[in-house]
Amino acid sequence: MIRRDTPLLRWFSIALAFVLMVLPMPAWLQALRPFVLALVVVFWALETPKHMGLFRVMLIGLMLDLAGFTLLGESALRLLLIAGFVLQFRSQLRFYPVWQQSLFLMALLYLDMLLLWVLRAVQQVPLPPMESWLSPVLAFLLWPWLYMLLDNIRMQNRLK
Amino acid sequence: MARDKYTALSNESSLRAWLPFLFYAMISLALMMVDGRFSLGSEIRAQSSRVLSPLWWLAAQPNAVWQSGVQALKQNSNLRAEVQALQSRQLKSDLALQQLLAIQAENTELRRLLNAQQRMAPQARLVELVNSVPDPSQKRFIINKGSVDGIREGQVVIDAYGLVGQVAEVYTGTALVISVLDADHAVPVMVARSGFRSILIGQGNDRYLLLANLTQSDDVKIGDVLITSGVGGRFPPGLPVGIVKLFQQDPALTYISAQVTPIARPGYGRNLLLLQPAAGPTGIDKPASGKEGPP
Repeated sequence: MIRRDTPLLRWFSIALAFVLMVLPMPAWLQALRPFVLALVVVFWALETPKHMGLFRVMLIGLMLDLAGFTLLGESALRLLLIAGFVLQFRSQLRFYPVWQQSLFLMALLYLDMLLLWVLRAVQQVPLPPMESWLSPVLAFLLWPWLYMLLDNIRMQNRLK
Repeated sequence: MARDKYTALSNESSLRAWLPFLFYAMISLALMMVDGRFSLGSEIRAQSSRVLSPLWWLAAQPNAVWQSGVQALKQNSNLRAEVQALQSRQLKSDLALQQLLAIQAENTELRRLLNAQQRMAPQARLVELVNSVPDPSQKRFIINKGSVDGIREGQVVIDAYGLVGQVAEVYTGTALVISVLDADHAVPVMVARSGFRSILIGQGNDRYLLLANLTQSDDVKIGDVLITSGVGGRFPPGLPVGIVKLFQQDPALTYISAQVTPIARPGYGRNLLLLQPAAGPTGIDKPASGKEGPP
């Protein structure tokens, strides 16, 4: 089964995730915002690792730092951690059922939260609010839908 | 033996597989240090604002559409009630303004007699809040005017209720405003009742600011309104900032600090006023914010 590469879908989905990451939200919702960009990056790292290497992941992270007014390199490091694990366990992860992938990603996102707390503590800036610990749960619920959506679009592209 | 060799090999190769990750992680960490020292990020942001501004604008669109949809769907009766409420409010502020005009005239006369410097009425322009910094621990937001509109760093932002913040970074078509609530922001204030002066420090949350290092003898009470004192020349005097909510003992038990509820209520799509810098002795002091750029 040879899948055709879908660069257009890849960059469009990443661009859309960028917009979602900077979408204005009420203050109480802001902390709950799931790390959608990480999920999209993980999808492409699973499907087309050749086109979503760590260098590109770092560049995407740096762009998110610029767009999101965080310290340059912070989001890059967070995305690298997530994508690094995913690329490392890619061969197993690809054949997990989707809900197990979700679980794995939620664990990774909690690791990411831990990293974020450490980075914030080192910078001596206010720590993320307590509600942000719920955002990986939202990502857990979001992943199956995101996976199916992107996978379906890819499939259609292949059949043409 | 063979098996041992195999495991050793696989361990080695898995370690090797992590090397690119470590390499890029090191680069990211190095960038963070450089950015922390030299605020590289804001430099690049200013240079690449042509790319970033459309992104912020695009992200603000769903909300803008939603807001206008809500406006369009508002019931006629609701609108009528709103107009009535606004009219009565206008009447009240007109009345207050009339009294204020008399006081102002008196004040000008007194200042002339005392040979003191005249206070200028600040010029203001309308801007719109389009987006806020997505990181919930930063209290900063983006407005829809930038350097092409003549916005300059340090301009004071207010809303209908009180002081909102000041312009921190200016891009081509947008500007970044740092709110008084941000942990990197401090504003010189005065208790309107007693004239006691201090510095009000943002805490990075929406609920309160902190008036730190108070002693028992300082004349501050719960319910006191804090206004800008004008010390430092960055903020014009007399803008309401917050109301003292409660006192708390410092961990060191030497001083007391007061939690202050902010007065301004900025929101998406709402209008804000940007004060033009007064033609007076400003720019003597550095900006009230402690650090430049993002934390």
